[in-house]
Formats: sequence, structure tokens, C-alpha cells
Amino acid sequence: MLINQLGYRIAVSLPVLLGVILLGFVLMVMVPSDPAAILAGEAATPEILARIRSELGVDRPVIEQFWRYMVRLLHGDFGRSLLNGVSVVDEVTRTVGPTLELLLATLVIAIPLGIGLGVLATAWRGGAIDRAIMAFAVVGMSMPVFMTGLLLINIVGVQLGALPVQGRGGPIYTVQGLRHLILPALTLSMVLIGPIARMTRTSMLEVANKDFVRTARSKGIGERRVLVGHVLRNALIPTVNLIGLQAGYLLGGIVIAETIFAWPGLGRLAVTAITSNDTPMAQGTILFLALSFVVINILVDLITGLLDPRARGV
Amino acid sequence: MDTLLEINNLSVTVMTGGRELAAVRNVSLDVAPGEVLAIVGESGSGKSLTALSVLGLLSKGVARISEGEIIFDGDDLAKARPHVLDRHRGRDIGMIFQEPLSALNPVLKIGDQIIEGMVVRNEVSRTEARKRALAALTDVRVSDPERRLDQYPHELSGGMRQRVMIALALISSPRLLIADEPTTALDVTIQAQVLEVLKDLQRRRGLSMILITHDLGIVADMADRIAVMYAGEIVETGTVDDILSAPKHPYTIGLLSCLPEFSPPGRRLVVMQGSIPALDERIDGCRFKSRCPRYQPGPCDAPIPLIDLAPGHQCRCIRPFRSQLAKVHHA
Ligand SMILES: Nc1ncnc2c1ncn2[C@@H]1O[C@H](COP(=O)(O)OP(=O)(O)O)[C@@H](O)[C@H]1O
Ligand code: SF4
Ligand SMILES: [Mg+2]
Repeated sequence: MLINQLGYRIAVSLPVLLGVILLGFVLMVMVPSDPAAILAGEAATPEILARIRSELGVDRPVIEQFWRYMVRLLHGDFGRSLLNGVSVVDEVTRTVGPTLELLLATLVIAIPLGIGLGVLATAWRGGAIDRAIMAFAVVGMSMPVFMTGLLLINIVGVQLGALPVQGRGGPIYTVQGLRHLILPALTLSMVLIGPIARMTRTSMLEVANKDFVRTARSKGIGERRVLVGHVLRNALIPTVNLIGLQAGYLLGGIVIAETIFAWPGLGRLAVTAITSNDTPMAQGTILFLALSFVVINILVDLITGLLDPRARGV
Repeated sequence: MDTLLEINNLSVTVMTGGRELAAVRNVSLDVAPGEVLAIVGESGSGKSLTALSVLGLLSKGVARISEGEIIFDGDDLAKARPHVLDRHRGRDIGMIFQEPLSALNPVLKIGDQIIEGMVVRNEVSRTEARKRALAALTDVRVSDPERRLDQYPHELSGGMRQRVMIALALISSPRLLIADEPTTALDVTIQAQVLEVLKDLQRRRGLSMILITHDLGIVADMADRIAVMYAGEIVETGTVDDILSAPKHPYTIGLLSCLPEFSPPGRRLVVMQGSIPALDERIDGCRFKSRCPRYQPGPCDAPIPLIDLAPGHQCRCIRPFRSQLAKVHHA
């Protein structure tokens, strides 16, 4: 059952990936810059430029270029950087680790915190705690990532001097690694905490009125167990789905957070490649970012299946 | 006779449109050990609110007990703190609800839902609890019980789910079962089967029961006593024989004449005119007067108390029927 579902999800994701490949290709082809000029440098003669162009294949018709590009992709060949000739695959493998670290830390912070705040707001609904949490959620949601980031850098990093604000300090399991990870992860968490808290609260209040909650209460299992084991347990389903819907914002946020915190990840690599017209590198990184979007949504689907037997189709 | 549950002067209000309106008015009831008390009345007469009050299950902020006491084992459940209520819920008093399709948690396995109370209370080990759940499902005649334990509610039919609810409510052997219209939502053939299961369990275990229904037909061979409710009040109460063979209140008679098997021979089936008054309607005197064929201006416009007609037979009417009107063939 699970395997079928997984296969189905991957199959329906293929058009998305294909679209991203096409989009990345079109964007970079349309950019009015000459890759041969970038490669050859200032002193290139017209003959040298022509030879480079023919080596790169950029003098061919666009359709043919796309076809060759696709064939290379299918062979796992993502090309080399126009700037320094390193292989795109190598660069992506080098930077994907730090990005996954950041993503993981963000989810580890945002999911429990968002759900916890949502539960608290529900338990004290209408009171001061509820209003404070919901106000915090709205502010967090409406603040752009770069603003949250700069605010945290300024207050926690510069004024308090409590945490490092630039670069990665090492692997996630080392103290330095963790210390460097906290601020960028916190910044990114703000993209998720507000929506998760609000969705948790909304769906808990909705579930609380269901008949089966009254049944649960009639068993004498205590209010806390009713709230967590029955109300929250059902309210988690829309909340997890929301995380999938937010995945796009999250990836956008990663690009920005990595840039302002100088985090050596995929997002920053993409930005550098795009701004320096490094076409193969830009296409490769965008493709991998899109791939992670697809992976997140597949994970969300699998978790929904675990939480909701009706979605499993049993 | 000793009593297991005693409801004294219970009043319940509901919030509608920002106003708090009386929906149950000074209801007094009692249930003896092993006794089946039926509460009958049209939809909207306050039966469910009365039943939910016993276990403290009224929706917070919507309905509340405004007056009265509910005595069970020396505790007043009307004013009890949550932990006191939890001590009685499931263990002493079980409840079955009207809506079998929505009364079970859609994301938890049937078996886990049945044993949850037992496991939380540490009554037995998980393995033992599972054995008991299996026995309970067999008791309510669920087909293929072993497999059902690991199924989810949406995989079961309405009738099966209501059997599961019965098993769930009775798993910790409570002394009192409150069944709020347990079969109303089911197909007629399924209704009969589920009632048969309930009746059988009640007899075998000597269970006390409050059976709520708007259908007088199904109480005849199950109940010991009947309380008839109308617009939030008890209008007549007595033994099954009192109510079915010698009803005195015009409303009770109206209910009975809607049923072919109880309407007096030779008389036409009468469908009662009108409907239950709205909660916010101001009524002086008898709350049934707008629909009553025996209404008399003056006497019926003053407050009407419950009047003792015979030991155990009470009626809220100043012009009750005198004759043994509906002596019929239910026996
Ligand atoms: N949650 C609620 N909100 C508003 N009104 C309610 C609510 N529950 C019950 N009522 C009102 O209280 C009255 C009695 O309801 P109920 O006890 O459910 O009747 P019954 O079970 O006899 O059909 C009805 O008029 C109903 O509209
Ligand atoms: S008191 Fe009067 S109006 Fe009310 S039921 Fe009796 S006869 Fe009818
Ligand atoms: Mg009801």
C-alpha cells in the first residue's frame, strides 16, 4: 500500500521536475550574456570565442541545445561551472549537506514549537495567552525572512554577542556547529511557526466539537488525554498538510537565510551562480532545490498516510 | 426501593444567539439497580441534554446545568470536579450516543478505542484488555471480531459501529448504561438487531439503563418505567403499564395514537398537530397547551405541577384522562 502510494507520488512529481528543468533552461538561455565571454575572459579573440561557443554548443538552435541538455541530465552529467570549471554535481553534493542541516534544524524547532503554541492557545482560548500567541504568529508570518534574519543578527549576534552570525561552524553534532546553526534555523523557523500554530489552533477547535471527542471524554481518561490523544491527534492531519503547502516559502526562505548568514549551502550556491551568469551551476542548483520541494511533499504525504487511515485507502 | 442514580430538580440552559435559554426544566428522575428507565419525547424536548448532564458532557460555553443535583454513589455529579466525574465515567456509568457514524475516533483502531479507558485506569494489562475487547465484540455479536479490533471505524457499517460503541461503553462493566437514541440513525432491520443486543446484555448483566428514544414502540418490551418529556419538562411518568395501557396526559396519548399498535381499536390514527415550542417562547401555564385538544382557558394557563395519580404514576395536567383509554395488545 505504502509502496504503491510512494510510486504514485513520484510519478505525479515527474512533470513538476520536468517543468523546473525547462524553466531553468529557458531562463538561462534568455539571459543576454555570452557564456563564452565569461569563460574566455577579457583578452579573447573572436576566433577563440567562436571555438568555445561551438564546444559548449551554444551556437546551435535552442531546441537542439535543450535536447542535448536533457540527454546529459539523464546521464547524470550536469555540466561544469563556467567560472572555475568544477563539476556541478560535486558542488551540489558539497553544499547539500549544510542545507539539509539547516532544514532539519528548522523543522526540529518549528514543528514542536508551532504545535505547542497552537495547543497552548487552544487550551487557554480567548484568554491573554491565546491572544499573545496569535499576535506573535501573525507578526512572525508577516515578517520577511531577511528582516527576521537581520533583526536576530543585530540583537542576538551584535548587541548581545551571544551567537555567531556568519558561516557554518562545523558538523551539526559539534558545539560550534550547533552554535552557528541556531540563528539561521531560528530565522527560517519563523516562516513555519506562525502558520503551524494557527492551523493547529483552528483545527483543534474544530475537532473539539466532534462527537468522538465526547465519546473519548465519556471514557473517563482525563481531559489532557482527550485533548492530546483525540483532539490534537486528529488536528495534526491538516497541520502536516500545511507544512507541505509551506514548503515553497521555506525553500525561498532558505535561499535568503543562507545568503544573509553566509551559510555554505545550496541556496547560497544558487544565488551566486545566478548573479554571476554561471548557467550550468544555476540550472543544477535550481533543479536540486526543486527536487527537495518534491521530496518534502512526498514525505508530507507519507506522514499524512501514517496519521490518517482514510488517506491510506485501507 | 434503593436508587442507583437520582436526578433532583435538574435544569439545563443553552446559549443561543447570545441568550441563555432554559432547555431542561426541573427534571427529577431516579433509576434503581437493574432497572430500565425509558425517556421518551419528540426531538428537541431536552432528552439528550438531560442525559449528557449526568456524565458532565454538556458542551462547554454552550450548555450548562443551572440548577439541581445528580446523585450517584454519594457524589453530586451536577457540581462535581472533573476528576470526580472521570472516576465515574466509563467505570460506573457508560454512555452510547445517537450518532454511530461520528461517535468513534476516525484515526484510531477499534480495539484501541475500546480498551483505552481500561488501559488508562490500569485495570488490566494490554494483553488482557485486548482479550476482553474481543469478548466484548463477540458479546455484541460483531462479525469477525478478531479482525475488527485492528480495523478503523470507516471500514465498518453504521450498525457495526453502534455495536462497537456498546462494547466500548460496557467494557469496564459499569452499573449504569445511558443509551441516547441508540438506534435512531440505523436502518429498521439493523435497529431491531442492535436493540436485541442491548436487551440481551441488560438482562444478562442486570444492568441499570436509561434508554432514550422518541419512539414509544421500542420501549414496550425493554423498559420498566417510562418518563415522557415535552418541551424540557417531564409531563408524565409511571410504569410501562401505566404509560402504555393507562396514559393520562394528552401528550402521551397523542404520542401513542401515532402508533398503530397502541392506538385504541376502532379509532383512527391521529397525527399530533403543531410542534414543540421554541426555547425563547414565553408560555404561561401548561407548556403543551397550544397543541392540547383538552385545553381550557384559565386553569391551563396557571403553572401546572406534577400530580400524583397513583403510587409511582405522575402527570403534569389538570384535566388528565380518566378512562383506561389505550388498553391494548402490547403485552
Ligand atoms: N449545543 C446546543 N446549542 C444550542 N441549542 C441546543 C444545543 N443542544 C441542544 N439545544 C437545544 O436544547 C433543546 C433540547 O435539545 P436536546 O436535549 O438535544 O433534545 P432531544 O435530545 O430531546 O431531541 C432543543 O431545543 C435544542 O435546540
Ligand atoms: S393542563 Fe390543560 S393544556 Fe395542559 S395538557 Fe392538561 S389539559 Fe392540556
Ligand atoms: Mg437527542
